[in-house]
Amino acid sequence: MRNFSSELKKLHKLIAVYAVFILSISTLAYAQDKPADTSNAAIATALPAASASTPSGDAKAGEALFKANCTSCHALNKRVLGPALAGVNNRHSEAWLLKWIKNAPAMVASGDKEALKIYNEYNQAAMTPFPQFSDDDVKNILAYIKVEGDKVNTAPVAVTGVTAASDTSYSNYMIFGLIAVIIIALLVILLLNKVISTLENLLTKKDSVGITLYEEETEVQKDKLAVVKKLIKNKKLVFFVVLCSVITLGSFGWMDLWNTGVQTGYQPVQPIKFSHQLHAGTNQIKCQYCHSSAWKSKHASIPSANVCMNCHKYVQATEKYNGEISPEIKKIYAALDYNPETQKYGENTRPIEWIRIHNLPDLAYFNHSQHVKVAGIECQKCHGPIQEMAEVYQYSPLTMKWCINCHRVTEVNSKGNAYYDKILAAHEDIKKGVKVTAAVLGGLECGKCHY
Amino acid sequence: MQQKLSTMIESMLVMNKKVAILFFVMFAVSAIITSCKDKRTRGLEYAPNMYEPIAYNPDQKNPNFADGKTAQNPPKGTNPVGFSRFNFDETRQGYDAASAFAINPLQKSQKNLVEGQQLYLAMCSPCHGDKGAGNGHIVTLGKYPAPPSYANGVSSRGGAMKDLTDGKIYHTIQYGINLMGSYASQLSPEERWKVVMYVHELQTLK
Repeated sequence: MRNFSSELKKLHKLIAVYAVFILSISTLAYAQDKPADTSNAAIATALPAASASTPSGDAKAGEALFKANCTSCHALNKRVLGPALAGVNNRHSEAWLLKWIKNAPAMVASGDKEALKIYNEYNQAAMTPFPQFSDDDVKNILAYIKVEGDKVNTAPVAVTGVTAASDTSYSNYMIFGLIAVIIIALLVILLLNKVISTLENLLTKKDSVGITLYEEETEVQKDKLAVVKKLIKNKKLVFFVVLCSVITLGSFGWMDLWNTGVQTGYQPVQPIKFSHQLHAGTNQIKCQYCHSSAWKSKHASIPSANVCMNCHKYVQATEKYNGEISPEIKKIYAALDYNPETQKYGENTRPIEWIRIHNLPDLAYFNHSQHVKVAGIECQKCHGPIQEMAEVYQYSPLTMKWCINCHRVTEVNSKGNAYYDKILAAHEDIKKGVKVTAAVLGGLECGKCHY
Repeated sequence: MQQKLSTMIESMLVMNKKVAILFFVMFAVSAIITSCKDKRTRGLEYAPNMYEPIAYNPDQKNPNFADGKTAQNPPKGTNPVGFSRFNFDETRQGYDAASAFAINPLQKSQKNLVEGQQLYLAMCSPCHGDKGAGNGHIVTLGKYPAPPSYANGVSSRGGAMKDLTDGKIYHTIQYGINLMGSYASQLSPEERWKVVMYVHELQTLK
């Protein structure tokens, strides 16, 4: 016993020593991060002071004009259709800018060198002439660009600096923590091994204390086993236990057998992390914007990548990725071989391989337009709360029972539907005794036989 | 009676011990296999060959084509049945020519207007707004720059938005302009004309 307690004491000592060691390392790591932090902050505060100068126009009046006339082609800090406008005051003289903004195409036609350079750099897209602007209007816009452009240029530096610093300190803590845990675990294992070996030594020495301990333990073990053996011998009990487990396992098995081939909840990993929660939920874009063929076709269809580009030519989520284009949006660009720098499409395209979730076998005919356009059913009735799904899963079982149950209770809305008008007219004819041929009921349609 | 039953069951149990164990194992295995359902897989399928299509689905890979896709573009210069081609180029000249010569072939009717509105709300309103004032939901969220209002805006190609002609609106839907992309893949020619009809309504709003 004495041995054991002394081992415990040793353990205490070791843990204490190790704790001091870890603490010193982690504070060191933190101390290393701190100077980087402050230096970044210093840069951030120094920059605006250096570049601030008094703009000549009224920036507030310029803001309204800028937002009404310029933003459909320009942004301050990124290329849209035209160049990023932050710093434009430094790139060109004010006189040149006045001329250019009022009538850019004329300047290109006259062969102005600066104008031609921009024209060719931006895919020969002609800038809209703004003859309605007065000189003061243009100066106001330029003042707004200067004020806002300086803000935009300095802001990202500060943001990236701080996040980068906090990132590294976080990861340092993680790494040291992990190493510490592993080392402690190893030490504990070593110590336990030592404890076991000392206990075994005690037993082999056949100390009086050790022998009594050993005997007591085996007696208890024997008793426990005896109870178990007695229970096993009781056939009624064994039968009961077996029966219970067969019933529970059997019923689970039976239920699961019925669910064979039913894929409710199927949620495969898609090649792009497209969130319906963001697009259909937050942004409230209608389902048919992308799945436009649901109105007119059997299939709701996956949109082609040009539909993504309607918005993502502009929307690049750079604010969430430290000024970089979102990696998921980059996947669209890669599929289309689109270069966001030059805004040109290449030849090396490849399809985005989406994984189909809702899949009916060919033996069942389902038509989207019949349900969406004719019956006017909401997409959510079958596809569930799609506007809340960050990742789409199969909501409905798509079994025959599920179809039939809905068809049993759904009333037909025949109002204003020429198909039902014709059928009702044919029924009236039959009542009157007029001869109704198969052709009248659409029996000459090609698809009736050649489907 | 009860005693008799229990002894009978006991004897059955002894007799069919192997059978009972077999059943138990079978159920246990089936339960274990089916219960660990992984949402990333389609799960158990019985006779999946009934479900796998014989013909190629449009979204499937296809080794018969050079680019490996089943969904192929129609050959160049071909027109689907009932398809009317818009014979104006994606240039400023084409835009002006469309303005002069393209006329909406559809009759103005309540039905066409309602369908035009439905299409407009799905395809255009996210940016242009329900009433065409350039204040769609995406714009109010600050995620996209505002397009000009149909009623009081100024077109980037000159002139007031309320004076846009059939051909100009159709040309813009077909090819896009500035930050607006082409909607030719989402709207059929007939649907585009319905949208044009509805946009004319929005131009008159104050």
